[in-house]
Amino acid sequence: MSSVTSSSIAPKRRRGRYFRGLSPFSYCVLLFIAFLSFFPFYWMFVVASNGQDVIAKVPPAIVPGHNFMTEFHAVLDVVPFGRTMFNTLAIALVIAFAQVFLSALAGFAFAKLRFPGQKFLVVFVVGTMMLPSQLGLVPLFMLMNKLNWINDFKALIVPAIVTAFGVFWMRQVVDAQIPNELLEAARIDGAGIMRIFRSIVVPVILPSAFVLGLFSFLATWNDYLWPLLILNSPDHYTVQVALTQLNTQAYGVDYNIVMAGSFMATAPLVLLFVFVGRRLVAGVMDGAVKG
Amino acid sequence: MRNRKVQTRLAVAALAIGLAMSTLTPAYATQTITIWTYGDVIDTDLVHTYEASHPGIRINAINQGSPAAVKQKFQLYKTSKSVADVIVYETDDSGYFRHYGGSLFKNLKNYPGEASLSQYYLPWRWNQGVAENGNVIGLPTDVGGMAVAYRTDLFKAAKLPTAPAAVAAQWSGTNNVVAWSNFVKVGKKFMSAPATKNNKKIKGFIDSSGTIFKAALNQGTKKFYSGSQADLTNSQLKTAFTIATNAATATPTIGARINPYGGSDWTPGLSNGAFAVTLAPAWQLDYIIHRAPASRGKWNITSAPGNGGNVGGSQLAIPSFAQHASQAWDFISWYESPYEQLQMFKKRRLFPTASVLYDKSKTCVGVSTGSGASRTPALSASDCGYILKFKDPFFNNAAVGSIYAKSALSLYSIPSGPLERAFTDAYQNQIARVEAKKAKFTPGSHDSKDAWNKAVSDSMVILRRG
Amino acid sequence: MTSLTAGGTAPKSHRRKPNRVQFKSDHPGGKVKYNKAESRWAYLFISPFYLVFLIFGLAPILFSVVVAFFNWNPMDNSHPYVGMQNFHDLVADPIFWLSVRNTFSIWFFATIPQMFMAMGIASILRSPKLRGRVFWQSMLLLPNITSAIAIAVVFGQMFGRDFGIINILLSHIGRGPIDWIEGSVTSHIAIASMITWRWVGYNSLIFLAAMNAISRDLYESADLDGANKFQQFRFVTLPQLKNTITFMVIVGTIGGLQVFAEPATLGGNYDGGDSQQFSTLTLYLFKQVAVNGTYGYAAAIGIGITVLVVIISGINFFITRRIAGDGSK
Repeated sequence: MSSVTSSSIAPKRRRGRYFRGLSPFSYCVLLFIAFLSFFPFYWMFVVASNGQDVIAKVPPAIVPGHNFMTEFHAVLDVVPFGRTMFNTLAIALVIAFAQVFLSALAGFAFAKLRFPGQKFLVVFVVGTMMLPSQLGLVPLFMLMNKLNWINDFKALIVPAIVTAFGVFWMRQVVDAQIPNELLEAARIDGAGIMRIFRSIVVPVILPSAFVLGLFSFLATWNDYLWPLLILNSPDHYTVQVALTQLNTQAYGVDYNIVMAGSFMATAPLVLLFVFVGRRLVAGVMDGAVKG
Repeated sequence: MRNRKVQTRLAVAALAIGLAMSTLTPAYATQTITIWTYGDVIDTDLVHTYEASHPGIRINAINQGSPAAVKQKFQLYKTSKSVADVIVYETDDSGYFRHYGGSLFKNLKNYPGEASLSQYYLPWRWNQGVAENGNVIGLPTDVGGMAVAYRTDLFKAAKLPTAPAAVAAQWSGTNNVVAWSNFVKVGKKFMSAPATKNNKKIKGFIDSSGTIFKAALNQGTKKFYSGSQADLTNSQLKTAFTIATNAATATPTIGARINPYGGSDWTPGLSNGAFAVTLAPAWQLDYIIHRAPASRGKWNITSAPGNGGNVGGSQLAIPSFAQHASQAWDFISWYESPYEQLQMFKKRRLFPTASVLYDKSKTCVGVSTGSGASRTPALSASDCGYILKFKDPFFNNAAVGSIYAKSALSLYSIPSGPLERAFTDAYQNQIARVEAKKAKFTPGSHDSKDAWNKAVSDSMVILRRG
Repeated sequence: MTSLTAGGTAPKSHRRKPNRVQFKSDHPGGKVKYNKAESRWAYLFISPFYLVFLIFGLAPILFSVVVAFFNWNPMDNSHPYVGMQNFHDLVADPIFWLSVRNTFSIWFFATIPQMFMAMGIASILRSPKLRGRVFWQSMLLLPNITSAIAIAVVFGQMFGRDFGIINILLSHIGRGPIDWIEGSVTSHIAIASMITWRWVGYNSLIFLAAMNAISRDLYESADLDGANKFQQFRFVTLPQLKNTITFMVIVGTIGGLQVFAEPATLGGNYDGGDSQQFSTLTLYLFKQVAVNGTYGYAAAIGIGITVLVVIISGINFFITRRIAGDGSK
């Protein structure tokens, strides 16, 4: 393939391709992956919209039924949906911002600054990633009790704004994406560290920061063990706690309503994605322009 | 640069919102009673009825997802003022709560009306709410009981009798061992029938032969404890274990290995006739109705082998640190009053622990509990006869009421302790392994890998670790 | 530290004034004098993280570590000191080791294929000729936003022995039904498929971002030297991705060894199946906390997990560095 073109003739951005566009094979692969990604989500809707016995049919129903609105109302009966969504959105956003900000600061410091104890502190952070989080659950609860943060969003937010993973990630990102020459040039120009951070580091790592923020947002959205322990009133519910309210059968799962609830909990995120999608694309593709 | 400014402002705004939200306090009615529950123990309609007649009281029932989650949450909150006013615990955990609960829960004996209330319930279910130090810590909710739900169409095709009395007669016996072995014989007969073999949909006679262990275990007077001491090799335990492993190793295989509690194949199995029989506690009837509506009329109910049985049920308890204890008591004593338990039966076939409703030896007519707005209507003659006369149209007019009544009334109080659930799991696991042909059980064997010996040794470790 | 710096450009020597801001590049390796201003800034930058982390992250865990030396029952007020007893029990506990094997097995099935898949998808995505980019990338992230519990229910259904879609599809191609949940390896595959499904899209985007950051010049010079597409991938892309791969392997290892939500929801409890066939380490730990109420033993398990994670991460780190190779050409 590479014999067809040489760099002086082929367009700068792509070389050695036989097809004008992307090969059909590639699109097939993408389509397959997209289908697999989407199918369980679609299946949720199928289950939610069919009666339980329809699911039991062999072969199982693959087409949505008519029951969705019934289940939709059933879910709303059990769960204060709007409030729950708002709670979770607010908490997840706060945590995401805080995590990204603090991780970027610390990551930059580890990557580009020199200070005593640095090596130890980094290894320390990475090492703590290896401790299972379930281990700290009970003592953390005891701490929350002492602080009187039970049923309070502070108990969800504060412990979550630090993440060893985030620091590790940011350090890696700063290392890889900020050439030392850039920093030195800025320093020669007389810029202080804070200025350098704000004007040089942040714009460069923004796409990766965005990815970290997204990861953090999703982790908060999906967290269920801790919120279930801490939250005790319906207007403080987060999404996963609310979904647990749908476990109305003690033994086994009432699929219809659980699936309906899960679907309703995911759909707003999908919508959010439609807005965020472009940003994400831009963010991830940004690196392509770099020479 | 501009982007960064916008982002900073957004971040600050988000943080501000977050912190503001964390100080938001909910606007509730005068008193809120918080309940930590699971499944369907707390019925929303009944809750609304109570709230309607008790203005100024609001019930906040939070589903924690499972009995284990409630138990764990209580462990953490037990001395906190934020603990719920009512917690629900399952009968499998009654040994645990009875052991530790003496000082952790309010003694309901100190609350008005308790003395007259206790007489109306099944003694062995009531005892599951009495702590080891004698305090009454929990009110019983429903009793699972035990019956056999069977598919008349599949029985007919296999040339087995289909009338409830005739079916039950097949597995009657002079004692439990005989009764269960007759049950297994029926299973083998079913599986060998030509019609069964030709029906590709049938995966087994019973959904899971593992359910037999628990059923048989609850039929005796001992499980894992003698008094308050663990007794892991007692003869009744061994008998139940033997019954279960015999069922698990029968040829042809009678178990479909479909788990009724949590497996994903059970619900479709119901509608598709994957199994002919399930050991059904009363609360499971509602599941069958709800999940397999198309199988209406194809089922019937009859007595289980041996002297009744039980799976499931719960108690409502009030933690010592509850902030609204007396209001909580008012609610739970109303919620579990004979009258309201009868309503739950009518609505969802949850079988009452208020045996006054079906125990002919107790005076029923005129019984009324509670005071003031919580006073229940006096039980009428038709109320008192309702359960024993009840025939369920979904299940071919099976005399569901009297079957479960008999089952509930023939059980005994069994000593229990804090590790009961863990022990049950240990023995149950070995039986599952026998069924999966990963282990063998030979009575009298000294092989440490033998299922029984393994169960005992595993339980010893659990005991030691406390 | 310097070994992880990308690019590895040679430092230029500078004359610097004392107390002016400096950066690491000035003195690669060797004895180093710290600059006060720089150090102060550094500490300022890391202090918010460390402060919150020490109080809310580390302290609780240290507390648990101490608890490992006691018998700690939440319902009891006595907490007798038992020294190493919990650790002796741990080493002799067959279910712990079963959980170790299960966890590794699941990790293997979840991480290795996923790495290749993510790289492959990223390679497709990086082409500027790709159309509908927003659509494809959104689809890739869709799995990540569905709740783990709901997905485990869905996958549990799909992998059901009698009525699951997968077995039905298999029966169409002549293979008999597999009891996915009951079997050991099969249940691991089922769980691994859940994890892969959830993360492969996200990881491909990470690879994509990293690939896009690779300088075009490198590709051009490779092209001039007559390298074909695959050679370019092997000698240009891969080495440049070394850091990303290492990072992902480490994070994947740590995450993989801590798999919790999927096995918990698949089994409906913390047992990990009838014969603990998919009991993972964190699941077993949590069972001690939530079901058995033996916090001391749980803490011992937690320490055991950490030791394993450290060892495995270390091994992974070195292996990955070797395989990815150093930048050639």
